[in-house]
Amino acid sequence: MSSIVARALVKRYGGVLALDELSFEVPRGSICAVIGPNGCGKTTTFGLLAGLLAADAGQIDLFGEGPFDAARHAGRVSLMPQDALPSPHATLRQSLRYYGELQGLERARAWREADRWLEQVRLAERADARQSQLSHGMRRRFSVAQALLGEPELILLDEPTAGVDPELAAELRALFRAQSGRATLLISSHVLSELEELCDHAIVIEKGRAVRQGSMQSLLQADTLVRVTLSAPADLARLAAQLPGARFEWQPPELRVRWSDAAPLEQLNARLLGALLEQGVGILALAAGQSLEASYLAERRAALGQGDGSISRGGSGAR
Amino acid sequence: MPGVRSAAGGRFCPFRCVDVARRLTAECPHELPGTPGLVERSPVERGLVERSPVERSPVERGPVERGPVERGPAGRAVARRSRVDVSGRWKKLGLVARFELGEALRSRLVVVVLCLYGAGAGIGAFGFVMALDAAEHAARTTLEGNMNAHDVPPELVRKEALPRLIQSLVDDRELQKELLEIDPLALFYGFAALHLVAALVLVTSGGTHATDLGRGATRFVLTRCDRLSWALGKTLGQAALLALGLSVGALVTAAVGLWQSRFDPTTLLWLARASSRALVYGLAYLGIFVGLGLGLRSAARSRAACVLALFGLWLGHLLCSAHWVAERVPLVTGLRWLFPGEYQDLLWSPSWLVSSAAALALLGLGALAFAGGYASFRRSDA
Repeated sequence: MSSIVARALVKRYGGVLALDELSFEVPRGSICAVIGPNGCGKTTTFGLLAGLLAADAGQIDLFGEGPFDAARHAGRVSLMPQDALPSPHATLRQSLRYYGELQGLERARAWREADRWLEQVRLAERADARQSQLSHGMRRRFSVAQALLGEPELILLDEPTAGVDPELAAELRALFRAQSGRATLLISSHVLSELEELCDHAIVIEKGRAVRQGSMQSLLQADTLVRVTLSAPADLARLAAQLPGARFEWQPPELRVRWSDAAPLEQLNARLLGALLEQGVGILALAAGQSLEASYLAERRAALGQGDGSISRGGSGAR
Repeated sequence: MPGVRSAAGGRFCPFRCVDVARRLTAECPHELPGTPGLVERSPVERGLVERSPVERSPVERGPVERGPVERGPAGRAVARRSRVDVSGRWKKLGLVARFELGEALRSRLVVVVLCLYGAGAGIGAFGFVMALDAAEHAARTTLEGNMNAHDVPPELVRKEALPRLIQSLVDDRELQKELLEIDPLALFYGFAALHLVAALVLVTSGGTHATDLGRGATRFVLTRCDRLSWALGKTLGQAALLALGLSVGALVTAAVGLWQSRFDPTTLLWLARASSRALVYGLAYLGIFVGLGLGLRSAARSRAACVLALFGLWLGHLLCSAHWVAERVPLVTGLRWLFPGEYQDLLWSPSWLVSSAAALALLGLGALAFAGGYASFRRSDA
């Protein structure tokens, strides 16, 4: 069952086409990364999902119940917007209590939740401060707190760790990870290493279209690609003869091995390492798949290489 | 997940992907597991189904049919919602209004404006009492001369003095007579409030909706409540603020009356009535300013538009009710009913029918402007 099904979404701002028949699905309970360059339509997608923006065409289905409807989805869908400022005069505590009550929590629970989340994002000491008295990072933390308030089922996080110090960013990632399984998270960020660590699904958006989507494992080719860092070049011809189900590519100091063999990866790796040790080559490191950054940049290069920017769609590669 | 049964007995796609013409058939891209005769298609197939431009148009967003009761992953009941949840909406309306009033009272600008308004009411009331004393003194002197007596009853003096003041405020002789029935202090406050309330609304409430939209504060709220509850709740909060401001002015006026020995218990009642008139008049402007804010969605543009609207409404009413315009373009005189200013004097009418009709017309003007702004906001991006 999918938490989000988006089909052929089109959104224009005047003459600018922000989303060009964007289609994707996000499995329920997953943490899904939304990746793409600036202006590719990530924030617009979040706005459409949260019902803040109106699509020119296409359809959105949340939890199999149709598009966002405040009467149905209030408290079940939450958004951490990218550049939004809450009410200027209320304190953080007052704002969170208000949001909690507004999304349907009992008053006592809304108050408890407000204090709990202020504690979680390390803002308890500033609970009685106004928005105008906060730094940018503190505002981001507040924004995260309001998004996680009241255990929503779908949490849309638009660049949640932008402008946040590394220590808190790690804490926020842990908070997000703790929601996995209970809630579906859609996270956009330009910090790809963060998304790689955090997410189990990903959607790559390019010029308003989903060019790639599916599990993070498939995106990183973690089940078919092995990167071995070697102390010296290996004899590729000999390796090819020994391991016929693999293709080898030497990118110093990395040997990239693509398996077409259906056998489990641990068996294939054992054969590969055995062959390398036989050659007496020093093995410095071994990693499955490529980094999200490498995968994404390769995708971008492929897109730019086609000139017109059109990329063959990966469609829904969800597994 | 079963489809939603239509009145005709057919089954509609629960995803409501297209209009009712798209029945749950093999053509529908949303296959339903376990539905006989429908082929289970892969997500890839479903995601990439090409649709004609006709199918893709606007219907997509508008929910027509509601899905059945089911449970979310957290065990939360997803209720069938075939009608608007009225009690929920009222509750949210109340929450938004309460927060809005609190937010306004936390604003230094609003507090300063209310204090200035209260102080202005106090100073104005004091000045009015002084003027009334002077008029009474003049009346007493005249009466003493005419009646050749040294001890003219105060009631008689007041009866003579007040018309002089009212004549300086109102030209209409009928209305002058009617106003004589009203407590003088309440009369003063009522007139002052009616003439200041539009400016008060402009300063305290002009552009508040647009400010929230501009700074993105609505993005925290509109995932939690519907747009109508937010827009209306916020307006109610501003209306409560206006009522509070007018009450402060009335209480300060009453205090001045008490201090100057021009207060009796009925004065409070008259002040409450005067404040209510000003509130109704102010609500018309509040509706107009909120409508502009919802339509423009930019704080700066909205405030500028509110100032222009205030000036335009004053000028428009002046032109439409001017005799020299009526003589040249008779049709224009009918337009004066579109301006709140036209109802200002009617609110004072002792006839409940007339004053109620004027109040209804003012509320109607405000509601119309609000509805126009909301109609634009409802369809637009937040």
